Amino acid sequence: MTEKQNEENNEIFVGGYIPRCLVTYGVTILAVMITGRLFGEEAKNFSTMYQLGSQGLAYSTLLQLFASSAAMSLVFELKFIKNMMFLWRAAIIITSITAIVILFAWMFAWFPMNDPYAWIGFLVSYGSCALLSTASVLISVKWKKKKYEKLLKAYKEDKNNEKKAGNKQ
Amino acid sequence: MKILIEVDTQVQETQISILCNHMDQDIEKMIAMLRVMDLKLTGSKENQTYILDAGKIYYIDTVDKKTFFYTEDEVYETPLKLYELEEQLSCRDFFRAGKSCIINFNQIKSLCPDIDGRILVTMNNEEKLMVSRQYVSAIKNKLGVK
Repeated sequence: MTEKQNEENNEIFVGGYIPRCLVTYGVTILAVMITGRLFGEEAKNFSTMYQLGSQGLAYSTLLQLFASSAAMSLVFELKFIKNMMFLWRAAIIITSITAIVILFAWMFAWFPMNDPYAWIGFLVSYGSCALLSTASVLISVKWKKKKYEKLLKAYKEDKNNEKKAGNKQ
Repeated sequence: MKILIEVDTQVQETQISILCNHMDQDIEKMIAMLRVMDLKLTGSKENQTYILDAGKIYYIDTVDKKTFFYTEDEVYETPLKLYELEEQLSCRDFFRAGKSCIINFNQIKSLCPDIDGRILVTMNNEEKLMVSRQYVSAIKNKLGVK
């Protein structure tokens, strides 16, 4: 690998993966903190994530959430999905992230796996989070596209005006 | 190789003449570089050499260490390296879009941001190209996005 390629790979890692991982971790912590704060001691009954109840989050929970955020962020770096159509990519990303969350839930016993109500609770909360985040990404992409189109049109108009002014001179 | 420079105040347009006993790759490359300075690109297609105005080029890319440039519906091979072209053509609104691609900004039809931070560019001939995340700032700067 050349020095330039190395430099570019570092840029992708530092500019893409690490920020995404930290943002995912931050949002997850915030969501878990809000839920914990809302339910207080009662939260102990929902999941091992709230093992300390109203006292806060355990170090082990913080580490588990960090590991899951790191694994989830890796999905976005998969090279084979980079050139896929948006819908296919979104489907692969959502499926992979769901699988990772279920794997972590099973590994760290975030909720009792043999309890159907726990599964329903998990699917409802995870599903609504996935739906909200997908919708927010789609809205932001649409908004950015509109903005870029507007700026591109303005840029082209400026260029044409410059050309016309140049021709007159 | 001898380099002969003659300065004549009467000369209206600078001329460069090359005296050689046969054309080789080095000379072809040298000519191509001189043409780029004049904002023209020398490209070959089916054993014919063509000289094109840089503004007509849509994008330039490298495949298997060979550099190609693309117009609306033609592809030409150039002896120059991508970085050499990038340096000379930046003043004509060409920008780096990836490790192996530079795009003519003036031939862009539309821009569409991607979920992973890249930008999908549609050229005036409907060809679609992707701008890598690390080069997106070039487009943003041109558009004045803060």
